[in-house]
Amino acid sequence: MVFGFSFRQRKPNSAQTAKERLQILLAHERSSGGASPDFLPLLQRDILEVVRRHMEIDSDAVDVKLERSDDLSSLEINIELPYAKTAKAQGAN
Amino acid sequence: MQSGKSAAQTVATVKPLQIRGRTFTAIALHLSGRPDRAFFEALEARLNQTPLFFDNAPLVIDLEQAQGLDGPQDLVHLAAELRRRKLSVFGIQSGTPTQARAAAEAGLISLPGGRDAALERVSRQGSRPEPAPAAAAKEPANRMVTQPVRSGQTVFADRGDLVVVGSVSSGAEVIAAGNIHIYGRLRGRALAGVNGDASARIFCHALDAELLAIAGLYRTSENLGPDTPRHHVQVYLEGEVLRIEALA
Amino acid sequence: MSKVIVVTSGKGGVGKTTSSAAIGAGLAMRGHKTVVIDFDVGLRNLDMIMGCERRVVFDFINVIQGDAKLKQALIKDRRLENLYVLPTSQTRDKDALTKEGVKAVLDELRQEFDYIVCDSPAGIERGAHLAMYYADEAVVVTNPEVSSVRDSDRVLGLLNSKSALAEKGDGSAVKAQLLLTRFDQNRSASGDMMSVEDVLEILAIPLLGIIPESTSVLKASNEGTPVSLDEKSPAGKAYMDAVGRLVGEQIEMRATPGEQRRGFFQRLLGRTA
Repeated sequence: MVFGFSFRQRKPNSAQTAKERLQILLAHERSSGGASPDFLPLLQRDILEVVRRHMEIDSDAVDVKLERSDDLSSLEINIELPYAKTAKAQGAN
Repeated sequence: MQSGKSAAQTVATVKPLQIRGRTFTAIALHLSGRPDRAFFEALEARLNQTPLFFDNAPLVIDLEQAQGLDGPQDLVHLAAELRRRKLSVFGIQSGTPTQARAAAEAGLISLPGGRDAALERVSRQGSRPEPAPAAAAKEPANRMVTQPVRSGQTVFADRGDLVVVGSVSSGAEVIAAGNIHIYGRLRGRALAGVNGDASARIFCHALDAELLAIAGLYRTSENLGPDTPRHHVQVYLEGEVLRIEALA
Repeated sequence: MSKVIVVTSGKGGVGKTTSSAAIGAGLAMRGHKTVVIDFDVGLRNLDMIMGCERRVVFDFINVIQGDAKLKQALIKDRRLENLYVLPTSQTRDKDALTKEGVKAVLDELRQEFDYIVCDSPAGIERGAHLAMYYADEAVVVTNPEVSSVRDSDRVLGLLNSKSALAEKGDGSAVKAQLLLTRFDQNRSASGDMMSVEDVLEILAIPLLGIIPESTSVLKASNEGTPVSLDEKSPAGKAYMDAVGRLVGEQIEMRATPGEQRRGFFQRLLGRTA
C-alpha cells in the first residue's frame, strides 16, 4: 500500500486530471451565474453595432474567440475591416 | 375460409338482390351504474393500452347491471361519448323494457343478452343478422412485413392475415383479423382473429410470447406452462381453449 | 458524398458520447474530414470527452438561432487535423432544437465534411429524434444487458419509421449497425453476461464492433482524449476496427479478451496493464 501511494503522488494520474479539468470548468460556469457563454453572441452583436457607427462592416466580420485556463481566460476579438481590403484591391489596380 | 367469402361476394354481384343471414362479432361493454368521469377515465386508459385493437370496433352496451340508466337522453349521451372515442356503438343488450324503448329512441337496437366466454376480455356474442354494408363490402387484405417488429411498434392487419418475415420483439404487438404467421421468434404479443374469427391461428418459428390471443381468448406468458412447445408452433382455438402445439 | 451518422441507444450511460468521440477521432485519423455534433442540449458532455471544454464560445443552438456563424462555433481539434466538434448549449433546453434548424446546419456541414457524427442524447424524445432524423446510418450502442438491448430495439423501430429516409416511403432506410460496448469476455463465457450471439439474435442487425470493458475508456474520458487515440489499449483498437468497418472495410472481429487480471505485485504498484 505504501508503495502504491508514493507512486501516485509522484505522477499525477488521470483521475487527478479529471478533477482539475472539472474544477476549472465548473468554476467558470458558476461564476457567470449559469448563463455562462451566452453573453458572447450579445457581445458580438454590440461590438458590430458600435463599429458600424463609424464604418461599414460585414455582419460576419466580427470574430470572437474564448480561451480558458487555470489562472486566466482570454477573449480574442478580431474585426475584419473592409477598408483595408478595398485599399489593397485598389493598390493592386 | 376467406377465399370462400369473397367467392360468395363475386357470385352475389350477378343477382340484383340477395339476402343472407350473417353472424358478426361485437364487443360488449358492461356498465355497472351510471357512467361517470371515473368510468370514462378507466375506459380511455383501457383503450390506450391497445389503441388499434378497439378502433371503430362494433360495440353493444350491456345494461344488466345498470338498471337506473333508462332515460333516452342518458343513452344518447353515452352513445355520443363512446363514438367520440372511436367505438361504433350500435345496440344494447340485457336491458329492461324501459331501457329497450329508450334505446330505440336513441337509434340503438336492443339485443337479447349474450353469453360471455370464460377467459376473455372481449366477449364474442352472436348478434342478430343486421346490415353492416361497409364491413361486408371489404375484401380481405393480407399484410406482409419483411422487417423485424421492434419493441413499441404495433402492426395491424385489419382485414386479413399478417405475415412477419423476422422476429417480433418483446414489447411489440402484432394484430390481425385473420391468421398471423411469424417466420422468426415471437417475443411480444400476437392477437389473431381480433374481429372474432375463432378459426384464426398463430404460427411462429419460436415461441417466447408475452401474450397470445385468438378471437379475444388469450393467454399470457405466465400461464403458458413449462410444457408448452417452443419451436415451430401453431396456436389455435378448440372450443374455448387456446391450444399451443408443435407442428409435426 | 458526405454521410450523417447518428450514434444512439435509447438508454443512457451505455457509452454514446465515448463512442461518438472515438468514432469521430478514428474517422479523422483515417483522413476523413469529420465533425462530431452534441445533440444533448442542456447537458453538454461531448466537449469534455473530446477535451475542448475550455474553448467553447458559440454552440449548435447559437448557430440554429442565427446568433453565430457555423464556422465560429466549430472547434478544431488540436491533435487531429481533420477533426472538429460542434458543441451544444449548456444553458438552453431541447426545445431550442428545430427540425428546420437542424436540417440547415447539417446541409451546410455536408458541403464541407466527409462524415458528420451526431451524438444523440438518451431517451426517445425531441433531442434523440432530431439526432436520428436526418441520418444516413446509425450506430446503435448497446451493453450486453437486458434493459439496454430492449431500448436499442425500440430505437431501431424508430429509425425504421421516424427518420427522413423512412418517411420517403420508397424503401429507403437508415443503415443501422450494432456497437456492443462494455463487453466482458470472461463474464460472457461464464454465463453471467449475454453473449454477442444472444444480442445479435434479438436485435437482428449487423455487428459493427465489440468494445471490451476497459480501464482505458475511463482514463481517456478523465483526460479528455478520444479513446481511439490510445492505440495500445484493447478498447482503442476495437474502436479503430469498428471505424474501418464503418467506412466499408472487411475487418475480422478480434477475439476480445477482458483485461488481463493483474498480479498481486502489479496491483501493489498501481500499474495499469
